[in-house]
Amino acid sequence: MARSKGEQFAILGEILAAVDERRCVSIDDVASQYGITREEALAIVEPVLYVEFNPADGANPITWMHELEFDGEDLMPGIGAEQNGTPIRNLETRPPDHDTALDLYLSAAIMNSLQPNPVLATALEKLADLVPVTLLVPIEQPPALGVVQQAWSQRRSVHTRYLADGRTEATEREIVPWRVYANWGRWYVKGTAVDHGEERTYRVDRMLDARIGDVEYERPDDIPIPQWFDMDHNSRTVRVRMPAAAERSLTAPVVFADRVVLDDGWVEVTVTVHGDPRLDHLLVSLPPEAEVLEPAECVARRRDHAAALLADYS
Amino acid sequence: MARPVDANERRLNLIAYLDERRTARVTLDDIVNNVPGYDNPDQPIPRDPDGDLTPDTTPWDSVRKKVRRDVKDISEKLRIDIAYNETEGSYRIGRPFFTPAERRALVAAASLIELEGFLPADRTGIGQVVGDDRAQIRVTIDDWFVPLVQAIEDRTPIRISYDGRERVVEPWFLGRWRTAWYLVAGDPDHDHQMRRFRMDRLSFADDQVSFPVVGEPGSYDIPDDVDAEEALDLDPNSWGPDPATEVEVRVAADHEYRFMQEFDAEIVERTTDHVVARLVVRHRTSFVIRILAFRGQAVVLAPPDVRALVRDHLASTAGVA
Repeated sequence: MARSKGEQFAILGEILAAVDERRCVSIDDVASQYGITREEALAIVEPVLYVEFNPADGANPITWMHELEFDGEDLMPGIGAEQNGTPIRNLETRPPDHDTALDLYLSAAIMNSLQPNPVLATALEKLADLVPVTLLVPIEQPPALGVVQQAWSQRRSVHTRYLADGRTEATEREIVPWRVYANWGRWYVKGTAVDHGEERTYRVDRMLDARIGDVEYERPDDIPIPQWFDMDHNSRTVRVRMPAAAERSLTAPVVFADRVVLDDGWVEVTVTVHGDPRLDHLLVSLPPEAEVLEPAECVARRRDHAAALLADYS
Repeated sequence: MARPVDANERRLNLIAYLDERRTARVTLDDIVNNVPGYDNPDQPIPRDPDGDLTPDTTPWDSVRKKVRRDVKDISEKLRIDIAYNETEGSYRIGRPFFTPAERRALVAAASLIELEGFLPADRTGIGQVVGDDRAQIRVTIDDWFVPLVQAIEDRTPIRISYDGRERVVEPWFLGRWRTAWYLVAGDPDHDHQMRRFRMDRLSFADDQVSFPVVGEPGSYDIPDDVDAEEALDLDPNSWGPDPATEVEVRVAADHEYRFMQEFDAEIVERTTDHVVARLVVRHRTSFVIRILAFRGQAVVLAPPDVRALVRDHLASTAGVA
């Protein structure tokens, strides 16, 4: 269906903004996003390629703020626009709509908690007038993060002493960082260890120190941030009888199931954790009067782990 | 012969021209004379001996309407308002909402942070067209987020189901502590005292996220003396019911960072293989459980009663008299 001039103008505005924000936009992506053909997309952008004009009042030529370059596949900011241009979105006089403002507010609040920035702070003040809500989304920056990000950007390995989950001592590792990201409030590195090629995910806050290594590498394309970690293979489940009031004291992450409330203020509940260290911790975290019902071997496991820890208090 | 100018190009020319002349008085004459696309060679506008456009002629009226249509389109499609001053007969582009630096900072933030599950991918607006491929930080936004934010904005009491119990709350703040989202809210049934709710413990009828409204918008104020950061400090040692007790813990050197992440402590002694950390404990049960997660790499040294607390817990669990 042919687009009206008004619709084409709105699409053009979005394309100009996209080129400014992303620096490079494929014409096919543009066509796909707006449900138009490649030819229609080209027709919309064609008038704004390589343009400047000279006002008749004798002033300097007005370099197009919107000037674009097109290499046959991708649209990019034109040289004039790069040197003198004003991105179209810089001229928006109206505040963003509510949802966009909320989105920007969240991103800016997170960013400002990571790297306080006076410019971002003033933008946040403007957004706070549009979204009168206090949202706190702090994300911790582990000490090794800067080195890991530097290694990633230089496509170099990173040497670290890594304290794996549940281990008592750190071990030396050299990691090739494919992607560095934060998810679920923690920072991770996805990559491989230099001494074996297996893909692993490492938590940056478990890196006790870090320095850039000597191994150079090509970063694979398209390393997505995972939606979740599949921990099922590592799950450990016990059924316990315990005072209901003690359930809340167990530290996350634990999953409760099949909860049965007993008459005496106690409950029977199935608890799942991931990995042997967390199982050990769960077992000794239970109130001493709690009972492990099954599996039977966890009864002894609980007793033995408590006895081992007790040695430090003798 | 002048190159024909497309309507969209003409509108963008107009924006560029008005942006260049923010402090000047720009009239219809200026626009027709300087901005390509308005002067129609097929229908020239009559001019007086000084070269100024002659108003109230058909071509003049036609170009005036064209400018007004363009101004309207620019406002509607690009959110850029251009004001017309009737007295001066001049056009002026409005002041941008964000400064260029602010917008750059916002776009940079949006490109680094992916708010998963929030806005649809094809949304428009500042920072909405950056791709997720550059994202470094993902924050998952659950279905409850937008309606809850709306309730906070409107100051509307809502009904929630928390731990299987229905209650009415006055939402104040939302935030994350460690890896979970929390709602801080006032309790209208108890003198508007502050309550905190871990969002993953809320339940919804038929798994449909909604917050039944219980009252009018503007029904309450968020107290001025409540600090959001303090309210969202959920460390049991900040709010626990027990008398504050200073505790010293020996921590193996490799576990120092993890310990300091877990507890708000200070290091008072350092050797090659361990540190001694000092902290204030206000929730003893929680403290014992958290210290046991270190599997012997963090051991309570003092005071004796807290050390005994851990020892007795372990002894009872181990079945040692």
